[in-house]
Amino acid sequence: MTTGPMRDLAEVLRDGMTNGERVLDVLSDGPKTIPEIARALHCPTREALLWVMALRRYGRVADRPRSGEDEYYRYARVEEGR
Amino acid sequence: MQYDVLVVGAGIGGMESALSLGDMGFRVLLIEKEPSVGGKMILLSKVFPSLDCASCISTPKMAATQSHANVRTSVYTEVEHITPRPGGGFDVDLVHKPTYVDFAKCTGCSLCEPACPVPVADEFNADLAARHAAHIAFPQAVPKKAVITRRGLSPCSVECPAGVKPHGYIALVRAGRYDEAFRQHLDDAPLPGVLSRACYAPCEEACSRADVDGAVSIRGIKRFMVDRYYAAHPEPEYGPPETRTGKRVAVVGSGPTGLAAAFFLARSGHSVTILEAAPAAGGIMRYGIPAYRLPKDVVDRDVKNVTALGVELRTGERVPSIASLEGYDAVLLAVGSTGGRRLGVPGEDARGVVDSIEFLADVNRGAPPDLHGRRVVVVGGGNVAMDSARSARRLGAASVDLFCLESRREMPAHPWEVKEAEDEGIRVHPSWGVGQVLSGPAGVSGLEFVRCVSVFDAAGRFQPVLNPGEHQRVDADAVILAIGLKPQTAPFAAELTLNRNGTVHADPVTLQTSRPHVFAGGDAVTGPSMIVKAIGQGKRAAFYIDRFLKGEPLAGVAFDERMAVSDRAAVVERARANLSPRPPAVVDAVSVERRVASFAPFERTLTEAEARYSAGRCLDCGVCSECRACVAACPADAIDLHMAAKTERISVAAVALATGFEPFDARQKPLLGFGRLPNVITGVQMDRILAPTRPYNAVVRPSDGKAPSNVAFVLCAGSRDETVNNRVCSRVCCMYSLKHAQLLMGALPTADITVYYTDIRSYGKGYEEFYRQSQGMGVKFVRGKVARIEPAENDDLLVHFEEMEGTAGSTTARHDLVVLAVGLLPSMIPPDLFGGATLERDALRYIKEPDEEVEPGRTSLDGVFAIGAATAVRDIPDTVLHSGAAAAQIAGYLKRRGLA
Repeated sequence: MTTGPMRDLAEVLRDGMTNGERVLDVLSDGPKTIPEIARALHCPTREALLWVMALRRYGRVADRPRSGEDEYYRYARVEEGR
Repeated sequence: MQYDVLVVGAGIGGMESALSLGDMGFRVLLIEKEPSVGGKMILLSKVFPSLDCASCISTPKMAATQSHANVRTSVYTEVEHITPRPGGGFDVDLVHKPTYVDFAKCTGCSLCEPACPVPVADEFNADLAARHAAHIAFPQAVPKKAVITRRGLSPCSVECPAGVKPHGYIALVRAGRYDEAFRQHLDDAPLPGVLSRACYAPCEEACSRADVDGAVSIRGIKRFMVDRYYAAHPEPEYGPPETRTGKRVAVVGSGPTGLAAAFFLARSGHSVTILEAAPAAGGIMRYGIPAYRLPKDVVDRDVKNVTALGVELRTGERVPSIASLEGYDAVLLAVGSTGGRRLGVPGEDARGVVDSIEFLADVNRGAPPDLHGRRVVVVGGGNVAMDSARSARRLGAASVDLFCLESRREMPAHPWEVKEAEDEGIRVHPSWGVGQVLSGPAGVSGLEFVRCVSVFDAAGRFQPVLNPGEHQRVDADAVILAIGLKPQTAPFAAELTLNRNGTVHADPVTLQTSRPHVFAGGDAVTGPSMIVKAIGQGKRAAFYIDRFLKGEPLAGVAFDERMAVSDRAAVVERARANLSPRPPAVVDAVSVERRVASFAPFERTLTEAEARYSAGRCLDCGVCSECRACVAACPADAIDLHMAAKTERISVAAVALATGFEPFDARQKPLLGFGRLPNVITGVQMDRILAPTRPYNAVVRPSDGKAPSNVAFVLCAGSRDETVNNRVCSRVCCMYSLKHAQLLMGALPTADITVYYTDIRSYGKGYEEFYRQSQGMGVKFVRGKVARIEPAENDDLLVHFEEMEGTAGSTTARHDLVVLAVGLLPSMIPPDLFGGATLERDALRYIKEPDEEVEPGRTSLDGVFAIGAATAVRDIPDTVLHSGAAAAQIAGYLKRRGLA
């Protein structure tokens, strides 16, 4: 799913508090790109990006290196205690 | 305080001037409205044309503002008024906005930020990412201190009589932090189970979302949180406090007031004994409210929250007098309202006429009267009457009719409770008063009712007027009187001053009675009330009793001061304009037949999904939720949610305005798609994406995280444009776009970069070379005016433009990211800042320099100077140069006038 209509940013960010764990669940079986995460969550990619970056800001998600051919970065769950 | 110079604004211009003046020996106050100095420069990636790191240049100056001997820096501070003094100089009124963090204690560890459950768009990342209400502005912030964003107290939290902060536990439930949510509630009020079932929820009435698509189901969320916690924790997780005061307090009565007071007193280290006449604790909660509304195991578990603190609970112990409580350092009378009122009409003593409180107590004790197949009449229009009627229905009454004096609109019962009663088959007859109770040898046989014309007089006093000409007889086998309650204070009449209605006379603020060590609270003081209000009374009593026991004064000390309510109308307006519709969660209704078949609760607890959905509907009205998770997380004990704004008056000899610029709001050019198309961003956002402290892990598109491969820059977006009233060239857009282009080519070596321009203005030192360098690196320059941008597949963008060279004509190109090189606008200063004096502006609305060639920085007001981008669009080198020149002008002015 691509972006669709842009929802109110504040609402999307609030939803991130509910959906953060869902993102982490999706990443529990390995690193994924934003479109892959969005597909798993049935949500717009823009919103998945915002939620992933919020998790990244607080150290719960880390990005993986991207090779030149890849269009997208992959994001991995950071296990607690690491 | 006296300073030589006040510098307003701590961007690069303000810092440069302040430090220069400080170096010259002048005493400078530098103020900044944001929580960090640094202005906009610190948020840039690099500077052009050198591509030096913006942070590397800024941070030494930012640090110097903190350590310079002659410069005092105050962030989160704004100027309210500047008043010229006769003879020169100014009186300045400053407002230090509350940060809610004690900067002297804060170590900048950032632990508060992940603990905070309220997300906010991060203005320092140009709204590309989230931050939390508790936050440090950005990683290089100076001072590196946390602040908490607040816009008043959320209406739900303002409205709770018990001081519970619903917004707090809702935010925590939304984040899945259920145990923390429960503990936060427990900190505010010790009976969350009771409140989750039997509170009338004034918070929901106040909820802003009620005006949008239905209030947040606050009580339902609480019930989920409580049920989940109690299932996992049959016993409290804590014991008595380690620190004891050695003081003893007797609490008479174990209703909501007594239990709440005991809880807070025990937490303060006092030894508390609750004396309860009934066989079990809970008062009205145990004996007054039917189990279908409030199961007694919930009451039992709530009581454990209190007794776990070491509170001694002595049931079956009636207190005959205050004198009998010898040995206690303080006493709280919280005896509630458990006496029923009488009608005062003939026949009311007939067998079969019972008082509602006795009736409900018998029901709750498991020894109800046999009402099976009987015709029951309930007299009264309040919640107790509803409880009685609905209980009678559950006891198998053949019919239940409820009569009350009040009209339907005036009935004191909550409308939803009246509706539920009627749904259960109870017939409600408003506007009837009892004339007499009829009886025969077997007891009561019916009642005669007289039409009630009005209940209250013009002054609002209870003064029923009946019309004897209109009456009716109603057959009845049982009558339940629920016409009001009165406090059981008679035993204390000789020792305390009582009011005419039997309530205890107590100071309404401190709840202290005519005997200093005796306090009274709850229904014993207020008359019949609500559980949540009674809990609030208990908290209040505990607060003042604690002070009394410590020997601290009671008078003039406020309890539970709350900040002003957030702007509900603004929240609703924003929500109506932007929100996706999300109706409240619908809990499946239990059929009436099942409901009335037993006293089992019929309201289902929300599922976890429903609770989180419901919590997700919260609009975060006040931003900070007062959940106090930051308080718990802060190792330095630096959070102070009671902090208030402080005003300060200073005297200065000169004022320097370094208020900088504001970027053009690209939404004013709707055809360019900003705010509508996620991959149309501004130059400010591009700078953040390229900065080392960027919102994303790399240069990616906001729509989907893809590394862009075909990026367009649209120059003159909102500058040189009469249609948006900004005809001036912003001077920096060409060069910052070239900077972005070069940096992008470094980050994304295979990406195509196109710049749409009308002409490139590379007027500064090394700028033309920078332009040529960009061309040499492969940046494609297209001379053309972009008309509109439209969406294409995969979140790509179609840029429609009028090409001015080559083939010329209307053309369309596809890109996967478009950057609008937005122009700069002057920061607006309130017109009344200088009282009656007018600070002149030039034709472009910048602060006017009447003689800028020879006296840069001097304005139309004597002693007032303007610095950098406050006077004109300037790039960083120009701003720094102008700041130095203005500092020299200010120094000369002070020396000439002998003001320093």
